[in-house]
Amino acid sequence: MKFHGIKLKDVTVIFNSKIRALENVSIELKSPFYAIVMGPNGAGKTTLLKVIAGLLRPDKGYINVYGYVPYRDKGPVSKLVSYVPQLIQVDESIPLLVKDIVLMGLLSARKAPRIAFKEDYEYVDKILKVLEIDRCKECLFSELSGGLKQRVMIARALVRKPKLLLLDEPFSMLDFHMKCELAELLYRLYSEMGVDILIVAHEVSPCVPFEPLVILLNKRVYAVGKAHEVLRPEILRKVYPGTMEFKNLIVLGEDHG
Amino acid sequence: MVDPLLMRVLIASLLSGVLVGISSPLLTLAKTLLTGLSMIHNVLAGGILAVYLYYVCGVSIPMIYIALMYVITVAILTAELVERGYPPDTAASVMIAISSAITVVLSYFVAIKSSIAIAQAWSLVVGTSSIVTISDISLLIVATTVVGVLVLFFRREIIYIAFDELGARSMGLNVRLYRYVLYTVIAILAITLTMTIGIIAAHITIAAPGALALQLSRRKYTQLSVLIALIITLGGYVFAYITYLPPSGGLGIFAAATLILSELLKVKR
Repeated sequence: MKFHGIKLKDVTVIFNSKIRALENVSIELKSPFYAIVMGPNGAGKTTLLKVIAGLLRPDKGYINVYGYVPYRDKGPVSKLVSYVPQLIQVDESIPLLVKDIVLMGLLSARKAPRIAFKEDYEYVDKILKVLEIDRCKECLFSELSGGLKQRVMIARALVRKPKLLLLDEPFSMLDFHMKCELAELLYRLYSEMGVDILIVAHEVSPCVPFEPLVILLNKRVYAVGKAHEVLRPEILRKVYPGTMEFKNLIVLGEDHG
Repeated sequence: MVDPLLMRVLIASLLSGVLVGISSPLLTLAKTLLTGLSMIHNVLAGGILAVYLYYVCGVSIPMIYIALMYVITVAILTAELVERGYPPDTAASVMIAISSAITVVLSYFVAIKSSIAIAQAWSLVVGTSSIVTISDISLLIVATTVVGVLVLFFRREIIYIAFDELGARSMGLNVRLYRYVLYTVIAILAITLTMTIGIIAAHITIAAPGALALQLSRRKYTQLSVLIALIITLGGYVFAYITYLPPSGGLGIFAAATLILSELLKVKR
């Protein structure tokens, strides 16, 4: 029987034969889930997402994503899993309209030549409305604010009707209010549309009200649990040695803490 | 009655204008302009290889086919190097180094066999723009059609990969294949322009239309690029015809004039 979720067992990724990005990572996330991976810089968070999306093959270990091995079964996994990369990886100098970016998300699931029909444009409009960015559909991506850009990238992922959304640092370059709005939007996608959400972020506070499953990662998994179980000074200190505790406040001891 | 030579010049400049106009923005957006310009240098190696095969090995295949096959092979190898992590400039430089070595070594062997062979190979890159032939026009028609079809069908994906390569890979797009298509377009563009309008004029026309169009408009840049390319090629050729200048001189003057005009338009906006 197919496993419905993500299962990693002893996954290790080594770059250039010496740099260990992930070390014996074992995680099991049963669908439906709204989870967030947190950890310091260089903890292997992005690497973990890339392994799940099938963009990287682990050097060791077992991985199962909804019954498929991502690096091997790239076709089915690319239909089930949508990856939203960090905004800094996107070349904003390319003059693409919002509607064309989202449309490409839809067309990429088809074989070439990728011709767009009327119903494709209508579906794109519908997704843009869901994400409340329909008024920007004729805008160039480079003309948008950080929050809107992030929504466009999520719309591009969502238009493919994925089972799982992988988001790499979606809160970076946003103010706190926008972070909270985005966290709420992602929670709505999870609770109303049944999309599994796995976020990689330095900052978990915008998601805390929605009780995500928190995975504390620093090359290996240090803790998995609900926010109130993981976000405790004695646990966080294992990954963030500079952690300090004040009344109702935990400082992780790094800039993005 | 219109001079037949002028008529051929006009047709050739019209076709080369369209060919460059539709492909130049793609090269600019995919950041492969330097690769395009450097690809022109591989044409000579293809020509030398053709004359070597004819004079030394006795293989009599028309020079253009061998040169075309060579340049497309070099283009795909360049694309593969980029796919394997080399920056595009480095990949193009490596391939030019290999082509230059091939040119020098094969030229030595060819020169022993024939005194005119090297000149034949050079005629490939010098171009025949001042005496546009029917075969030049045929080559331009075929190249414009092939490039037009490739750009029409794969433009969206190529631009998208330039926008977000990692995202494109995760969505299951075959990035390697589209890179091969893009570099094949570059190869066809390089060899066609080099053979018809010559190496100097090819250098002038490949880069300017796309780069200028993108400076002027972020939305209608393809149409603008075709317009700029037509102004440069038609204007340049007619100007050269009237003033008895070499065509590359006319093209250069018009490219510079278009650049100044576009800067003025930008300032006005």
